[in-house]
Amino acid sequence: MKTIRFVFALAISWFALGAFAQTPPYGAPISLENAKKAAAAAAAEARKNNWQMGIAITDPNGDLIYFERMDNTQIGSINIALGKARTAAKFKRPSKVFQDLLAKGDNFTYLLGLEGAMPVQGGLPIVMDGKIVGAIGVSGATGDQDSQCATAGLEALKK
Amino acid sequence: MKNRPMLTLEDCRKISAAAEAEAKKNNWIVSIAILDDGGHLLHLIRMDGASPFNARTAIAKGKTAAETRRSTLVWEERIKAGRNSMLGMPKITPVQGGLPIVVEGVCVGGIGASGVQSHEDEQIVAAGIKALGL
Repeated sequence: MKTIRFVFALAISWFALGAFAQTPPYGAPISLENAKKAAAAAAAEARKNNWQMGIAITDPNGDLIYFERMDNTQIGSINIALGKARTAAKFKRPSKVFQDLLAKGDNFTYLLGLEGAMPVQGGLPIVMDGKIVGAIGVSGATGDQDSQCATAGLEALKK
Repeated sequence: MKNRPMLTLEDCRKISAAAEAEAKKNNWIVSIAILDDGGHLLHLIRMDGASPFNARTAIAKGKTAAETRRSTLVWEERIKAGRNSMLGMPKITPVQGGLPIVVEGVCVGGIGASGVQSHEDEQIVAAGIKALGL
């Protein structure tokens, strides 16, 4: 029974992460101009709601291209914003994927051992012309609110 | 109660834009980081073509200037003069290109640049601070 459960868990995890294997390829890093545009839109969304956020934009490797911290943002959010962006860049998927899988139960606690994977929503890959050009990470409010701002950042790049 | 001046995001954007303009004017490709008085990141840009190392170094220079309330050149020169023991202090980056931002006699943070020659990096951050119109 145990073996079956283990195999089942493996199958699920393979499905959960492996099924996303069709992620876009990595491309050239996002330009500073576009990074600023995305961050400005994320910050505008935060300001509109009276939230204070740290906003990080990285290249496809997870290295910083742009960062800004709104007035009175908690200091802890600096590295959290960067960590979320890094997660999205390095694993080619939203950081929420890890959060959701962990919430499913013990079968997914192994995700806590993945180096560089911060299982907290608010980090999204930035895809332009079908390629991952970087990632955005936002931190400062609740996970849902962080995600809302990160999404607003991505939306600005579609215009 | 004691009050202290603090850098706002608006201030940071102004400083960073002026520093970036100075770099662009000279065709320099750099990264520029602004940190608060505790050495925590407030704002960072990495210009197209600048390396991840430039970003890390810009942060390190700005952090050194913010935390020690001195230009990183001061540390570079003291070590060059033979005070190697300075390298045993809590982490500093003793390379020119980082300046403290001082308002009304209070250090409110630091700014660092990396990407070109050290004295040019300093020229960039100095132009940034100048934009505050202190």
